[in-house]
Amino acid sequence: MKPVYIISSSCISPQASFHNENLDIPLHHTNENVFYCIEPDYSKFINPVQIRRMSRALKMGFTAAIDCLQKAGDPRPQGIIIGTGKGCMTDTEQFLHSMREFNETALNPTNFIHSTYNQINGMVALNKKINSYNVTYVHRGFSFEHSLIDAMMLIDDGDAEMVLTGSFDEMTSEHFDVKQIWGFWKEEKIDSNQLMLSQTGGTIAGEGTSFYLLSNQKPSSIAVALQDIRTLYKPSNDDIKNTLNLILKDNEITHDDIDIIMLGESGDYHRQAPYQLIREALPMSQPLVFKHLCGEYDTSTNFAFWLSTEILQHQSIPRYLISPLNQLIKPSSSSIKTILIYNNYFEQNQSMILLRLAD
Amino acid sequence: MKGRLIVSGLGIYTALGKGVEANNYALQSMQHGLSSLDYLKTIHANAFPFGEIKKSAEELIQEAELQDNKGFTRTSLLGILALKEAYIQAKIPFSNSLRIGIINATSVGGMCEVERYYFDVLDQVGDFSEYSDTIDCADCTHRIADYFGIKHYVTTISTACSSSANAIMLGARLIQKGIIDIAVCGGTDALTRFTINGFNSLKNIDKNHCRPFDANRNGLNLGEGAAYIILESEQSCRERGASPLVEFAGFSNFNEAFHPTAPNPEGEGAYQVMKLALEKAHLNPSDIDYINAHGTATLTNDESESNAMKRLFPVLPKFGSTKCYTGHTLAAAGAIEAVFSIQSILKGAVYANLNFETPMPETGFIPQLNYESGLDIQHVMSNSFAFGGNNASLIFSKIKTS
Repeated sequence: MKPVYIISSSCISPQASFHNENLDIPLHHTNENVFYCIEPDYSKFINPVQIRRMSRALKMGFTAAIDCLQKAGDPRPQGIIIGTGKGCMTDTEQFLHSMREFNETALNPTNFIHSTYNQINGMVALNKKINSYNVTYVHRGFSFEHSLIDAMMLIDDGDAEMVLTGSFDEMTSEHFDVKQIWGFWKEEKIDSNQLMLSQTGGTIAGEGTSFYLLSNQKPSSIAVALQDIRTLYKPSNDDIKNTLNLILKDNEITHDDIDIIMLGESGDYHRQAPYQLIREALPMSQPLVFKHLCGEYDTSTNFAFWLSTEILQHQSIPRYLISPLNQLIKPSSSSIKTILIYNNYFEQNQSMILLRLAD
Repeated sequence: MKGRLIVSGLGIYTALGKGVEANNYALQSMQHGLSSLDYLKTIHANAFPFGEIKKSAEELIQEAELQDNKGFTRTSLLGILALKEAYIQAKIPFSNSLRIGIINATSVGGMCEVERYYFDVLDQVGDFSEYSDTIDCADCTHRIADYFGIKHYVTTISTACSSSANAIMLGARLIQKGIIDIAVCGGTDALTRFTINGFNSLKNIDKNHCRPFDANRNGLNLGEGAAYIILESEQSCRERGASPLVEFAGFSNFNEAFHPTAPNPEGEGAYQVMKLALEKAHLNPSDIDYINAHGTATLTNDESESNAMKRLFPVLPKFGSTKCYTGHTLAAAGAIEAVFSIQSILKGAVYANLNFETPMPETGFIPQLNYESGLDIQHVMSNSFAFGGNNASLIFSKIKTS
């Protein structure tokens, strides 16, 4: 498929990523094994009556989507494609609680309506009157990736010139507790800045949302192109290696052309092997980890995607990324043309996303 | 890929029965599958009719012949059992090197189990670790993919009541793009207290059997089920020695951006999506022989859909809803009704829209009132409309022998 260009983006994350043009934002960390987003002032994006009814996930996702469109001058894309692993967890939980509390009678439908996974898709379309192709992917660690692939297909087929795509996921304290019981998180509390130095199993929780306006038209300024994406379901080591080779071959680049590999290492000692494999396959590339900044969640690659586009656009690795976890192996003045994001979501859902500075 | 897209396998499990034949028989006999609930525990069990599949979890596990049945939700089990039938018909061996992808759809995934043990997990009473992460939509897709060894593209769509129609569309597009060769497309949804209470809080469940397109309709009935279709190119189908059933001729997805849960009463979104599907299929409205309508029997849907049909079709084709047989199976509905639509072509038959008495004053439309066979059904349209304005329309066509 032809590459697509990123026209605008918007990211709400546990870091000060929203409306922050300066990449040297101060680093936020947590000692509680869970990251929550820094929420923006919603009043600029949502009317006050609606704000009160909306849960965090809805507000964050909707705001990032609307902001992304506004940054591009409010065009009308021909597709809205959104990924979410868990949808609006708060609403799902609240509806479960009220079913119990009120013994299945006299329930308020708002939480039920908001718990439907395509809620933000519908809200964005309604708010901006965008009559178009509109789909929600709900496949755990593939939700964001499959949204991107669909957007690329739509543009490649000529069915759309512009597509709004992105993803959202929220962590609630209750969902954190449930997943703690099921062994997803580390048993001991750690400093997120030390995440990858940990020698234990489990990871830390997080959340975030980011949206992108993708187009077949290259913008006149410095442009980042989404070149290729592959998703691997429960792959073997050979599958991972073969896919890496294939993505290089199909895009006519070599191992050495990958300037940065953005790795989804989660600090889970037992899940490090596939990342090691990628590190060894790309010894000349600058490895960077990111989950110590956003935590682990179904659509965490959206944060890596945002970071990567920022790095390519600014042609530098932000200072806050450089730490004992991310030591530079190349002089910081080297040009950055190509970034490969590799993520491994609990072995099941693995992905490779190739981003390039457009020529 | 160039050329026609072919459906080579069908699988279905609804309150009408397990398998295409059982469902055909019920439709032919004009026998609905609605009843009070025997298996799902809810205070609403006797308050409304439901399209419940009369099988316990244990019986479904036995039918699926699972060696290790830990953590299989009812949603996963229904999906596996429906897809098994499609696999056999499409002659796909369980172990193979084909580039097969699964595009699954569900509205609440494993909620059917999650809602039973959720508070016990929070209180840490008992061990429910086998169900870890079944709260999402991907769990059932993973279970189904692993059962059949599907690896090449594994994904799940959730656009409420149009989910599996969108899954079928995506399957077609992935094949056309050459990303996969064979697409397993469909959806599965088990009845849950969550959705029953959700729709009840919206006050759109009928206490009686639903009456699609009737002036006095009073809401929908909920149901459960799963259905899958196997899509591939004509060439792939021929090379594998499978039998082509029908052609998947056209499709469209269109958001009408009108209201969070209600359709435009004028039917603008429904009109556009049907029109776009016809264009994609290079067909005229007069080519459509039967419309398997979304027809939920809610006040708003049937008004909107009727108005859209009135505007698009100068001469109204035979049409009707089959939700009066199965109940509204939400994310599975698009695939279940795709199977009924395909069977309509293969059997040359159209289905009776049950419980209809009085035409709606807006259109005066009378849906198909009897099961009718011996017809030459060339093209069938199947509609699915959803919360959030997510509309979808699919067109299946008889395979031309030229």
